[in-house]
Amino acid sequence: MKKLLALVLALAMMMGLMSFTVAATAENTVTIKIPVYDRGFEGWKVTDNFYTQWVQKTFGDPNGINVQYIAIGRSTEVQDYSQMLAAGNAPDIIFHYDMPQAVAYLNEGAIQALDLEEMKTYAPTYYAMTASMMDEYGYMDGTPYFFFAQRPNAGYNWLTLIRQDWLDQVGAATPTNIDELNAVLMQWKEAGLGVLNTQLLKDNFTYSYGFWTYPVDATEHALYLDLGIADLTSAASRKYLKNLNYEYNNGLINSEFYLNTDTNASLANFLDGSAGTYSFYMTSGTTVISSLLANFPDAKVSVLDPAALAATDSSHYGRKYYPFGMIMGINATANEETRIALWTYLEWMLQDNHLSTLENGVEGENYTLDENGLPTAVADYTGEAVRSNNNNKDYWCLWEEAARYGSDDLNYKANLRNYAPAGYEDLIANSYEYFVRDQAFAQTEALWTTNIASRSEYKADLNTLFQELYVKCAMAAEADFDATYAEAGQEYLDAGYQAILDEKTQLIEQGLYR
Amino acid sequence: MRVSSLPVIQKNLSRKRPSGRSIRSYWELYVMLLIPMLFLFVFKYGSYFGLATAFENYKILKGVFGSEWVWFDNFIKVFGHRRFGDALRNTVLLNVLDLVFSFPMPIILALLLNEIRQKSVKRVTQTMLYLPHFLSWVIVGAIAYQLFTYGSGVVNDIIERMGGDRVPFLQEDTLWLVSYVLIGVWQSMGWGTIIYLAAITSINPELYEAAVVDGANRWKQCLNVTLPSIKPTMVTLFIMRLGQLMGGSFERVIALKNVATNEFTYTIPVMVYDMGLQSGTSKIAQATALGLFQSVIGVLLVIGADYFVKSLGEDGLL
Repeated sequence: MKKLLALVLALAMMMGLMSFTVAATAENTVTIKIPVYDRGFEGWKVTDNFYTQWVQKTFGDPNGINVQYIAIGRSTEVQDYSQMLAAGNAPDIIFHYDMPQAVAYLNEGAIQALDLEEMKTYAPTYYAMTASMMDEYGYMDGTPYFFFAQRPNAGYNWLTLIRQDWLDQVGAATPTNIDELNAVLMQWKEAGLGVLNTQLLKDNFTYSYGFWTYPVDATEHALYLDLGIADLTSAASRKYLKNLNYEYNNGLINSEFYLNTDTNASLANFLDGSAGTYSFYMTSGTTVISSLLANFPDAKVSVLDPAALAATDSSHYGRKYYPFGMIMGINATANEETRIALWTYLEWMLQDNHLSTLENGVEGENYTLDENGLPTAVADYTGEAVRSNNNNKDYWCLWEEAARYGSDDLNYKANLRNYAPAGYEDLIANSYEYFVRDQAFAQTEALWTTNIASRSEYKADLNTLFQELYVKCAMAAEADFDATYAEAGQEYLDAGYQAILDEKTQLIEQGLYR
Repeated sequence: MRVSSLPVIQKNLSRKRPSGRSIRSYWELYVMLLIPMLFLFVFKYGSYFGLATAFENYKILKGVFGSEWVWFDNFIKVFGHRRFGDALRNTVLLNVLDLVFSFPMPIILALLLNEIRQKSVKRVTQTMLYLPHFLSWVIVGAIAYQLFTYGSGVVNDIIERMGGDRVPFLQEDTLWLVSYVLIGVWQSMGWGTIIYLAAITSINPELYEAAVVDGANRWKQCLNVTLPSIKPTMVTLFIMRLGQLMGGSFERVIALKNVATNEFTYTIPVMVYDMGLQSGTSKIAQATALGLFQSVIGVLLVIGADYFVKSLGEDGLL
């Protein structure tokens, strides 16, 4: 009996080791591999669900194409892509949201040049949509490599909530610049309330945008602003750090802000009443406000004017997105047959009501149409056509970054519903007002039309070093700030930032940027 | 008189080699053995080819065999790296401290446990001592920060309530080092006792009887019988431990570090991680070179230590 058990176990383990999956569809002649972000939504299988099956049935089978979705971990995407590229099984589309990494893939040799005629022939509608963005941003050293999804101007769900009840308690008006905000924070401190929520800076370095003096010098901007590498030695950074140092030394921010390494830590501070602000992308499903009310039934929130986080003599309070969303290139190993199938897939997405199905689900099941013709999600829908937690965006992001409904007015109406929890539409309305007001001043980084070698050489190093240095500057005694900052700047330059600035200066002189 | 320290292993070694008959009658077990063997070959030996990347201008798409051979360029870059000196110093420092404090603790603990006569008490104590070993460093790190942070740590709250001053256990460089070592001792000492307890159990009871006849009390028995008997085990484990002098735990440092307290936290494993995983694909070759350097030093230390203890007349490892 024991022997039999051992045998069964041994064989089962061997089988387990050796098993591999064979593509089931023999009749489809071409296989296209489409990347899709896996954001770890509970109960959601990114590569096999109602919508992937629907795509196979409606698009794949009639065209003899096998559509295979490849999961890319949202927070590990570069590692995932790198490993798959090394193993030779990467998706046929190489995508990323930011240009420098997309260029890095190109430098690895992962992306092939685009055949524009082929694209025009097999994906005419898609090509027409992306053509001007390609002309503007898709060429590297004169050759077209990248095409782009659209990004409608709808980023106003990024907002900072502030405890209105605390403002009322100390009798303060809504602050409109950093000095007024600091004054409010001081009143909060004296009244025994909380601090300004502050998190360790990492990954996206947009902290200095609100500290540039307007109007700005265009070359200066091109030189310093970089989403992936902090501009520690710029004048704007100095101002930002000087202010942070002031706030730290006067107890206006969390004394251990550098231990808040993720948004969950900040959220916890907001919900337990130790901090009076919280910045996030608000969506209708958010539980931030309800959780706060559960802890503090009398709490009131309003939207903090983005200008309150910017220097008094500055006018641009934030980063502007590029007009494109997802940046895509074709895998270097994809052959003509695969490419044609890919273009056909992108074009199919725009035909009939395919896009609407991906975005909204099935009418009468997931949603109904209201009097404006806007889809209204059926509350608590749990049927088979249930969408992913972010409304299937990771499937339709190849076309656009936010769903659109025909006109700006309708988009806004729909977004009030998409972005705000019921009863809190005012918050999105306020944020929209600020968003419209600040559009003219928002800034974006330069796009380089060639690779910056020193950037990839020093990036990881500088990112680590920056954290150490800026925290040191923030925590220095106020009298020592200048010396600490000067020393930090020198160390940062020596560690490779000078090399990057030198290379960028050269490229600026040659005009290789936008 | 020499007492065997690893009785179980040595007993097995002294057995005859498995005959064809025993393979035939126990073939299912050998089939099962194939699986860990396969694992070993695929993941431990199979990856040896990848070491070639340390000498290449490695491009992932060209692969190990297609990339350009650049000899020692990667090593030169790594050794010339701005922070290589820091990493080297910190790695050696953290591991030497660990060796000094973490290595003797399991021995002391095993000797103490051995003196507990009440079986149930011994079992409960042992189990409680093992438990921290099963917590991952991420969890240990999170708990440490909950307990010991300056601003909101529970331990600091207690100290303050009792009239003391708050202590920056993890937020001041020297104190961080002390906390790092002590937390490591706490996490590993219980688990480390297992092998010593096994060695102690196999000591011939007649030795203790002889010692008692000679008038030795418990302390003398411990000193003159138990300790010498487990010395070869200690030597073996010490040599193996030396092999990690250039490496050490990456998770432990990452879980316990914070950006404001960084004097001692940049180590070689952290550097390998920064280069190999944080820098996209551009520095995989340099990370490999650093890893290879670390392994070579480790092997040299093991061989050197082995040679040294053999010259002192001990058994050694190899």
